Amino acid sequence: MRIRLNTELLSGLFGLALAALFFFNRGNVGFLSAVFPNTVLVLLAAFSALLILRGVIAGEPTTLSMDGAGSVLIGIGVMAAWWLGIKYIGFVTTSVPLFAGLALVMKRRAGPLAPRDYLIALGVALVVVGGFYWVFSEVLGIRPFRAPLL
Amino acid sequence: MDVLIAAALAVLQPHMLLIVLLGVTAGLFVGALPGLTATMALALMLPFTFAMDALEGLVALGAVYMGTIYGGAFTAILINTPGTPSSIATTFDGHPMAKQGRALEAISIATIASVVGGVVGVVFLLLAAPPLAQLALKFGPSEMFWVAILGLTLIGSLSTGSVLKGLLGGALGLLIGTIGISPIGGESRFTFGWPPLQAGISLIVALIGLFVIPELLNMMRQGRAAIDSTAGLGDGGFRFGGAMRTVFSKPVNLIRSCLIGQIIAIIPGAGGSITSLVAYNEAKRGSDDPDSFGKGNPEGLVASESSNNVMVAGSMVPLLTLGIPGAPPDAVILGVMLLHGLRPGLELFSETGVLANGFIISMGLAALMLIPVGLLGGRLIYQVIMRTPHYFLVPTILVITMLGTYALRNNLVDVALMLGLGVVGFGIRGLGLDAAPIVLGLILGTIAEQGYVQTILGGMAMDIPQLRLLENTLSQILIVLTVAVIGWTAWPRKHRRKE
Repeated sequence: MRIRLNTELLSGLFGLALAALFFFNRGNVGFLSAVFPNTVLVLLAAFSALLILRGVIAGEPTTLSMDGAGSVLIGIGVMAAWWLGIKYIGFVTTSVPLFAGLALVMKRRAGPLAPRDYLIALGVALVVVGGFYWVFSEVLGIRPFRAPLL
Repeated sequence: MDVLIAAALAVLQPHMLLIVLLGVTAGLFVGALPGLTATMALALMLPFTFAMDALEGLVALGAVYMGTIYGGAFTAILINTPGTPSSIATTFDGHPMAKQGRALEAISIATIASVVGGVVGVVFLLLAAPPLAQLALKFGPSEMFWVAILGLTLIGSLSTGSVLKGLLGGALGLLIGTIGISPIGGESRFTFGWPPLQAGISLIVALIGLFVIPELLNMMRQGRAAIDSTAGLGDGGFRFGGAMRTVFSKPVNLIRSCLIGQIIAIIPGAGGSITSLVAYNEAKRGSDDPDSFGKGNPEGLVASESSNNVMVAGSMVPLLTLGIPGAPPDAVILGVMLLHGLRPGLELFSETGVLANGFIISMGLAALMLIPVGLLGGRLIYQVIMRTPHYFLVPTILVITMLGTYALRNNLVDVALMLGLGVVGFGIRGLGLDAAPIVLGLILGTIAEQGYVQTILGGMAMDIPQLRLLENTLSQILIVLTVAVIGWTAWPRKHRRKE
């Protein structure tokens, strides 16, 4: 599926929304801390307004392919689950199934999965996740994640 | 001279040579995998430098950078897919050569051209950086503000198709850079009621988030399971002697390409893809046989590969002298420097001259190391790359990015910020907003803010303190340059063509 978007108008609106978000969260700070961000906010609003104007007057829609959008959403979901799992369960215990799952989702797009693929994915996940975890915690001396499980 | 000798001795230690060798090999692997850029390679390798001292870390990343840019040529030649954007022009003649059964000849030529380009860039950096750093001492707060704005304008204008979108990206980066404690007022800003934001958004977190995660999401979207090969390596070995003769048989082409690469490299934001395309175009224009370009003419290959490897060291001139990254991968190098408490400028060369010059010399060694790694290990690297399933690559990179981001400050908030920025980065890429101006805005935010506020403080007696920014000659020259860049890039191309 393909969609046509006026990217200039949309990027202008995005810039304006961000400028508004920051503007209403300026808080009570003194002149020295406020003068630069205030100037940047004015510039951001000005560039956004110009983009909106250009998008309205002379915007040429850009065609974007939506193929694979489902995979992107799955990817974003996996990343969110990964972060939550690392925080509340453990790095290795979360990473191994998510690694294998993500690899299998991607492989499935190329063709049907065989039982052997599940085993290979799990094996590779164990080696990669375990290997990097060992390198970071034992070789590079990074403090492990604070979570109930490994 | 004593400093140079000490620097050379420091990097000629066996463990340093091993770091260079491993860095070039790792860079070659990553660069040869389509979709993985040099910035991504450096960001991925960054956590592995945490256990190293400053020189070792910089040497490792410099070697990875050199290897990545060269590695892009492998897939450009063999499968007509540039491993990195810098190798786009390499596909034009490299792949036709591969299809004619001359893949090994093409790789050999690309290797020699890359080595020459890499060494030329390093020599220029060694000669130009210290005097330019001296010159940077003349820059006061007002000039530093305008230098930051000029750098931002250049990268904003050149990295995207639209000047306005580039400038919007730059302003976004400046704004993100203001999150956290103000560098002059010392107050907390834009924390949105979330205390972890008081520490600000780390440059490395933003780099990994904005450069790596969107690429991973893109790879998931494309869902490519493996690399499709249309041309193999062929039989026989690499042709070192023949490649040397081919590369040096057209010295004008080689010198011109290196010069083009060096000039463009100094301009922040121009990047390797522009460098190699311009050099390729000039090689074609200057050739006796322009019709053979695109059909397997080695001259085109030499132009592309020598110019993009000049850029590796060449783009570090503005980085090491002014703190302005010449290209996005340089931002990662800057991140490492800042992590080790090193600040670009004259101090880098006067106080830590051995380190600064050692880093530069090591890039020359990395360029020379391309010959054994590329020509001797090339066949093995090719086999590994062709057999690497893409579906394992994405989760592997995710594991490294998660661990690497956490390792920065042992903080899971950084991981969340990295992932969040990555998702936003992927979304805005669809709108035509590039990550490079945003990251540069983040880097230059502190320089710009300090220059801006200090200049205004000096002009408080004036009715409009901001007018102090326009007062001295150097500032005025920088303002004219900034306006000229915006004017040139904003002026519709069709009008320029007519003129």
